[in-house]
Amino acid sequence: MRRGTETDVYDVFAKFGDDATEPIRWVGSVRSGDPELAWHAAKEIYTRREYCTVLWVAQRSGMVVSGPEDEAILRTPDRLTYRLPTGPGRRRRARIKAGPVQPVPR
Amino acid sequence: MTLTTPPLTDEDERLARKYELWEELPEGYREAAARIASFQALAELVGVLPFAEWVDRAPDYERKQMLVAKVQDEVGHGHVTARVAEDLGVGREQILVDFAEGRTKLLNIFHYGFESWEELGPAALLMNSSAIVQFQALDQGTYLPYARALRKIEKEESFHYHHAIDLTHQTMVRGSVAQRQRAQEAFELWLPRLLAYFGPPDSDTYQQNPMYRFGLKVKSNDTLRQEWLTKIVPVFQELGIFVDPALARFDEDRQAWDYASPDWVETKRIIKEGGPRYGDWRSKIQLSLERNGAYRDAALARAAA
Repeated sequence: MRRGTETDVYDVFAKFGDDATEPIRWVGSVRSGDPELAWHAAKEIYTRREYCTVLWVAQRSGMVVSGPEDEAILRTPDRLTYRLPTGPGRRRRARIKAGPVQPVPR
Repeated sequence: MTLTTPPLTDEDERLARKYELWEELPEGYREAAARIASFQALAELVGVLPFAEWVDRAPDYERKQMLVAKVQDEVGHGHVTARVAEDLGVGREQILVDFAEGRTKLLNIFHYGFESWEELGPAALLMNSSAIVQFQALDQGTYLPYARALRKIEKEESFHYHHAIDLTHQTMVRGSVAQRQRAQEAFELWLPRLLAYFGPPDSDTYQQNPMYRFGLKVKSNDTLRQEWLTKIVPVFQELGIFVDPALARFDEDRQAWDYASPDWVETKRIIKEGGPRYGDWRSKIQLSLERNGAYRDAALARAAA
């Protein structure tokens, strides 16, 4: 990962439509010398048609972003197999195979 | 004529590998992607000028609003594609300065203006439909930031397209004989210009073109031209425009369009030496760069502080 460098680039994030469960998405970027003006530019450029409900801008120099070198550590399934659903699945099949649990004698 | 079409697997492969800005790009790819994005940014920013000068001549308030929306949209497209170019190392100032100082060429269709309000509708309809056909091919290209920008742009182009249909329809239904005649003439004037806009006929080696091999150019000029004619000719016919078979005619046997070949010599001359309004657009861009220079410098100095 690395720090973003551009101080005059703002990445734009927005949420569109009435579906409240929709995530906020990255939609593009604007170039501006000022954060509030960047927000207005984003509004004019990226919310022209769809009904926008959330609009954020983030200065690129304030962001930490992944690069190609991070691919390996970001690929959870490859390195952390015990987190995958197949792990519990295997255990579940083993449980079924083991048959019914004998009640604790009283 | 036998068409040499590459096997489908090759085609799939050419467009299958997509790239993000931060990925390692093949040699020459970054420059090629920057070129296509900056070329479009300029086309959007200059291409809007012939429309912008009609804003205060629009015949009614509703048309004026629609035209203002279109002008703003196109400038927005200029920003979005300029951002794609800037991330690849080509600044928007450079794009505009290179144009103002005569170093970059402009697409043939942006060298003209409109002589009448009745001309604007059919011309805009021809321009928008060809842009949509172009973009729908280009958004399948391999550079993802550019493809995303195009998908945003397409939504707005569709609005412009319907606006242009409505505008032409109004002239054709409510207009006087003279006005309808002007719409007809506009179609005949602009059709060859737009046929030329798609670029020269495919050469035997178009697949060797680096832009094509990188999958930045997706379809060949002739393919796009044919797709466009299929889309747009029936639209004009429905609007009551007479499409002279000598200009464009569908050949049922070949399942392809025959069309009057654009004047390629004149097209090349226009692009090289400048068409009727080229000088106006250049000085407009030059003036705007000068007028806004102090504000731009102050804003960028503040951002860097």
